[in-house]
Amino acid sequence: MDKPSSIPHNEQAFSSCPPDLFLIDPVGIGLRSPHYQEILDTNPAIGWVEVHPENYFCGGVHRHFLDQIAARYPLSLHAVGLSLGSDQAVNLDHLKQFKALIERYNPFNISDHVAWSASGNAHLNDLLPLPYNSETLLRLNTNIQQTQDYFGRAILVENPSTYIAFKDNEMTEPEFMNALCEQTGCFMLLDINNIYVQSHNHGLDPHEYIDQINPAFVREIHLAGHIEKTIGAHSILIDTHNQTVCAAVWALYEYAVTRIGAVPTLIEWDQDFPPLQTLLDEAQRAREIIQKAAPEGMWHAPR
Amino acid sequence: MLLAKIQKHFKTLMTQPAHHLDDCESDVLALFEEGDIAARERLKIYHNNVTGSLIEALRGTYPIIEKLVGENFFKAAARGFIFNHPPTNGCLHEYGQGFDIFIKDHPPAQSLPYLADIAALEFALNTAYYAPDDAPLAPDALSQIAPDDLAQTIVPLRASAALIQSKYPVIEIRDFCLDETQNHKPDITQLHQTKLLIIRPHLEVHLLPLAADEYMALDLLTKKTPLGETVETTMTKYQDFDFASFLQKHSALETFSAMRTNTPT
Repeated sequence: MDKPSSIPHNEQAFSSCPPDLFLIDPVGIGLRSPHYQEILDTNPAIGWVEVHPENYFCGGVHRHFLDQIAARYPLSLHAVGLSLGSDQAVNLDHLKQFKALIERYNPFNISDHVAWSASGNAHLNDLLPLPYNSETLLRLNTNIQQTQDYFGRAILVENPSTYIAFKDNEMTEPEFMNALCEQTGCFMLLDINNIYVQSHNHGLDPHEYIDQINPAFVREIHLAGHIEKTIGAHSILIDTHNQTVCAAVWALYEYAVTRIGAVPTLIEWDQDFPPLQTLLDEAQRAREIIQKAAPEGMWHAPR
Repeated sequence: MLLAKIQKHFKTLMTQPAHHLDDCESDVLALFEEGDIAARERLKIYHNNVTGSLIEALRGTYPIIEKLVGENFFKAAARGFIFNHPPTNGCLHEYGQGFDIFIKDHPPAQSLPYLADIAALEFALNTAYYAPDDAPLAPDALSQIAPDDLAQTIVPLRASAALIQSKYPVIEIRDFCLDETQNHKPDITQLHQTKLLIIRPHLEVHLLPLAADEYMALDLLTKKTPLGETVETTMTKYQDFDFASFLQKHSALETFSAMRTNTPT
């Protein structure tokens, strides 16, 4: 297997757009409301934080805390509501409110998912699956370009967890992800847990999946926990973000870091929140894996 | 099948009760790989995720309703609401508008006639919590307007402001639910005239009981009625309405927004 050496691909990606870099501890955590006050009180040693912009579109307590925390840590905005894979244009009101946050906080990354939620006037509030064919590719291209044009900068798109597969797929998921980046100039948010979930649910080889990803496109990595559900004699993994990262996903992360480099990595947790210390411990574990794979001088994120 | 058609089928399946998946059309099922687990079972996972996340969103906005009716009753009502009113945008915290009207007509809820008003109160509290951070009217702003112009001035309320009225003691019912140690049950048989202002001047949402004349004046202001007409109309019903005290009180409470729509020049 042809394994590229750790960093150069990434450096190239970082220097393409936007041009300047800043040194960063590459490991961050998802910022969620139960931890606001403790983060302000204790200033934990984390590289950056990420939030779902949809929770901050208006005012109030959440924005009050984000203002203070974003003044201390680099910030990434990870959207769940653009519905880039819908067969309709991205909602302009959503884009407008999102852009106001980008202007307010100047995040180093902006992202959403390769998935869809909206159909007509209904927004189904889940990341729903897409067939990987030329029609979907064209639709996503249009919506990603609309978004990037509106924001005036590149976005990242995340590989999904899915529980069902379409028969008329014309390409594999990593091929589809690469094609999106090639055609739109967007970058990739590689969720290692999702790769593990996809591999289990659809009988793929997770290492082959990672090998197929063009490392030059990867600007961020996500790590999270999942649960296993049994249906009859078989099991399916559900991407619940309510667990610690499992051993197999840590091993896969180490494999990905060796291939891709010290990409900003996020510990993500979205329900049944543990104490902040659990997230910090998970972050430390990711940091140790990165330290093994890439020297500290190479830890960068685009400004 | 075209992407638009796939998404329309999917939407239909996700926005009706789960048992409809059992008689899902075969041409829809034919879109998917079968594998070890049947496509129908796989679609049920999505159905469960979509409805589960929306039920959680409603639980977050309507905790008092859930306390009053219990978890199982609440979940059943929430499902009924979700299938009739799926979200229309990607901001989940805005979801749940109209749950008060739904619950008012929800047959199993007929024995608890105050539920709809509690739901309206909880939705107003949630809306205030997430409202835009607008600036309050400066305390001396009205005194700087020429007396001749004051009558024509329109003074909007803050973005977070909402007026609620009920014939039930909604505050007492809410307090009773929030405080586990309380054993004084609110008397809902007595007729009440609850009038409230929900507002978030800064970070905390306030719930302020209002006098009847005060409620009427604020209600007129929310309808963009100029100050002069607001006083006149209020006084035709409440002769003792003290406009000066009203203005002073609500300027201090930061009820008024700095955004005046027709500042006379």
